[in-house]
Amino acid sequence: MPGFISEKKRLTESNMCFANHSKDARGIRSRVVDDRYVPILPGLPDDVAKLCLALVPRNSFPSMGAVSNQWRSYIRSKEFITIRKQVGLLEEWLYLLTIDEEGKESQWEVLDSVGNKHRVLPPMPGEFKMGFGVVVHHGKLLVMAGCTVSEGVASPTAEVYQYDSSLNR
Amino acid sequence: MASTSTSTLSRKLILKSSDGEKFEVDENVAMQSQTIKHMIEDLDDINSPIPVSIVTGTILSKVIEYCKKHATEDSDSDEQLKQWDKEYANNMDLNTLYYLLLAANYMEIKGLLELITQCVADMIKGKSPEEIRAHFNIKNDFTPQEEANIRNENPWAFEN
Repeated sequence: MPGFISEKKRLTESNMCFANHSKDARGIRSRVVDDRYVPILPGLPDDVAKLCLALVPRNSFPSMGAVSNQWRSYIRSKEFITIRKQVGLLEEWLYLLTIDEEGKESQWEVLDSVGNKHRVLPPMPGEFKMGFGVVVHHGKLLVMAGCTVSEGVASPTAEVYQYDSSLNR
Repeated sequence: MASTSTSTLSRKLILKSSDGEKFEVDENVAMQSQTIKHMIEDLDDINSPIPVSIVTGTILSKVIEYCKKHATEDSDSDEQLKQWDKEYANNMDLNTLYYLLLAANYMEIKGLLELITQCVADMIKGKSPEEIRAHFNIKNDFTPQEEANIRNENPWAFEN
């Protein structure tokens, strides 16, 4: 499902790109001086800057995500994950949904691939739900749909929650 | 030390910077740059200066300083070399680091590229968003509303 959505999005983006180009008769040069272009690190080409950002330890990501729009979208991108992987810093996480003995309280926990680190995620927002779908996509944990139970009556929901492992939110 | 002198006699190469400055270096020093390595392979006359077209003399001399240090493997231990790298990078201002980074990228010197990118990454590490912007001269392009949202972000953003 997420694959389908992103395909669709990509299509619209490339269409928009095409429209921009054909409208702009002055060509590439005027697009380069376009003031909407903001380098990630002023003074460096973005490909080199992206490499620098990918080498920063993970606990600085939330701060980095609040620097500028450029930084934020890069840190949340698939490309960031790809570059982290290339430089050997990508960690694999295992998400676990745990429920207490009485079956009332549940929480998400994270284990790293070697089992050395263990962390509890912030509580999932919204009401207690059951029967939801779960998928991990580009470092993000998505919890979809399911139904909420209140006073013994189950009502279905279309809510989707996302946990972004880069920004811990 | 004896082993290096008995190996093939090192040839000299001349590197020419973008502003015309010439540097004579041992072939094994210059060969740490993959770009120069490929250039030499295609070169008929190695006595003619090799143009390093986007790198100025000031920066090229620093690049050569790094390559020289890393070409002589004999005297220093890994630990000493790491210490040298650290001091080398710490002595540069941000502008010089950027130019070195561009040079290392263009000349394809893996070790130098790794050293400087890590050095820039270390400058980002542990800083607040405001400190990062000030250090790297980045404009805050969030609207006040967006900024407030980021600051008050709930864990688990709701996405419709």
